Amino acid sequence: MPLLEVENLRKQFGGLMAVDDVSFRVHRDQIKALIGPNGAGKTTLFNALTGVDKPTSGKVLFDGADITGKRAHEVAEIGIARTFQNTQIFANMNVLENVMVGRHCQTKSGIFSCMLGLPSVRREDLESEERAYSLLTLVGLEKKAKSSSDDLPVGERHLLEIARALATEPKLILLDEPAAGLNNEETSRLSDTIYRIRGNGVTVLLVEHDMGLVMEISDEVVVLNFGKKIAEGPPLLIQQDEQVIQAYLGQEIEHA
Amino acid sequence: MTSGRRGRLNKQWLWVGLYALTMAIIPNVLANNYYMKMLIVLAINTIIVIGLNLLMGYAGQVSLGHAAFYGIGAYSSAIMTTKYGMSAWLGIVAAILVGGLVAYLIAIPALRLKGHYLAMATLGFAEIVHILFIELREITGGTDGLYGVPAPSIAGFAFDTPQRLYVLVWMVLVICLVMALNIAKSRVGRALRAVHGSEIAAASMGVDTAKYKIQVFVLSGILACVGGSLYASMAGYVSSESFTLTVSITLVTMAVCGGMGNVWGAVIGASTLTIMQEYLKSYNDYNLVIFGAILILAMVFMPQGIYGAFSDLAKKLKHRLQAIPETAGEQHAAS
Ligand SMILES: Nc1ncnc2c1ncn2[C@@H]1O[C@H](COP(=O)(O)OP(=O)(O)OP(=O)(O)O)[C@@H](O)[C@H]1O
Ligand SMILES: [Mg+2]
Repeated sequence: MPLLEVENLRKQFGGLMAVDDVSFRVHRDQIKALIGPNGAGKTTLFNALTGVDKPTSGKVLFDGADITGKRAHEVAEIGIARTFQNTQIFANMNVLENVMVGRHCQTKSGIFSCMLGLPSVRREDLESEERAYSLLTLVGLEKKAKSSSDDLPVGERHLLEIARALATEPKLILLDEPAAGLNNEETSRLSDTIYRIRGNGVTVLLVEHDMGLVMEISDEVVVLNFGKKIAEGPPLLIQQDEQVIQAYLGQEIEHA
Repeated sequence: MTSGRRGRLNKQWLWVGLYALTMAIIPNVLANNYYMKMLIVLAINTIIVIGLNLLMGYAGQVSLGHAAFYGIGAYSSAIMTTKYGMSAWLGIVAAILVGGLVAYLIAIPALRLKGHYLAMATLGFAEIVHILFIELREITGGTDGLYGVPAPSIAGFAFDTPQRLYVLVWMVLVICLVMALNIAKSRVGRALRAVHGSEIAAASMGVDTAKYKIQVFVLSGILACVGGSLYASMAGYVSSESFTLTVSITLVTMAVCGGMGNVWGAVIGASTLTIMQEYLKSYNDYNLVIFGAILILAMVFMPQGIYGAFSDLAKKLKHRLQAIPETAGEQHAAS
């Protein structure tokens, strides 16, 4: 059974069909990429999958269960985590605390036990802190744990979002343009990180404009154009696909 | 790293102890009923502003209507004790229950609104409540208010003088402070700040944003009710004039001036502005103008509040000191 099944998903904004009848599957332990020109509907698709927006029609199955239309926090609890193209850092918290918010799913203390400062709350907190710290180490931000998150450059914000999403201990992570704002060296470190994420048993669905990165790390690629799926397959075939080349006319995709 | 965190937490409880001690000593220095009443009002304001800070500073949800909960607390106590002959303790319990219920019922629709709309909704709610205080003459005494609210007593000891009542208010204040600090540094505190920082990201991390917004609204409403209930015991009477828009604005000004998003900011803001309000008593009619102006000035020139300004200053000083070569070697395991 595939981990994620998207069936005939549609998302309409007024007269615009931003995602138009898209179906695809993501298998366990895959790194799958979702590409397409600007405005193709990639972020909209992510929003529809994660409960940030309700899809207009279609179905989303996760681990065989229908999760269509579930609310964002329920989707997170079920095991899908994500990052944001326009990063959504909690600027009022330091870097470590940002990641600790990701532990929300994995912890239980309610407002009363927190108010009373019960020992169980403190135990959970220490565990969360340790896990958060090790995730910061994974993305290479451990030295900035106590820095203000608002001071991070764009590239590091994406890395922080990855650590924060991983803190929910997801089965599937959706990354929306994680390489934006990274230089070449940082991008190659990002691809190592993504491999390591997959190595830890987390399936990856990745939106990315850096074709070098996409072609290098993904097992399979889905291509969207004007909301429609125009191709799906392994990177090598996608690079030679007529329709894909047409869609990207004027943009290079072969330099992998 | 873990031990560093523990060190910081211990320091926080040291501050709590120091504050509690100071607040316990002050009345012994000011053995005068007038100042005692001011000190009780200061403590009550601190309790309310701590709640307001959790709501506004932590969770980022504005309320311009907290005078309503303050009033609901005071009237619930007064009605239960004077009309139904309940003890003052049951009055406080009633205040908490009624206030909590009203806050819950208001929170469900109001917290779907954001920013200015939420501010307007809470303001409208407070105006309606204020009108009800005046118009429901049968139970609220109308414009006359209610007289003869008793003081709580325990095993024959009545908290019936300002000195005695202060002991009770002081205990409630310290308990509220400790609880708020506990929440602030906990999982729930982080969830509240996440809602403030980015609602979408908070939800995507598994935070049920609607649930936490309602919880913190109810909590802040209950704290305001507790304050109102204590106020009724101190004054011995309640009247609608004590719960106007001006009071709501004053409370918000205290929260903002002290420093949002930090529990100590609430303590500082409520203390400073209560004392200032006392000195400006002869200009009472201009309270709304004065506090409105302070609020605007604070938001423009000191958005982090007094707490934020001082902690910035402290950080800069520390930085300077560490930059001096001789002391540089002392920056050992501190971090
Ligand atoms: N909330 C919205 N309301 C109306 N239209 C929207 C909304 N969000 C996205 N769109 C439109 O939907 C289309 C798809 O946008 P989307 O952001 O999903 O593209 P994308 O593939 O992520 O592009 P990019 O590579 O630039 O991030 C665009 O035409 C966009 O203008
Ligand atoms: Mg996008």
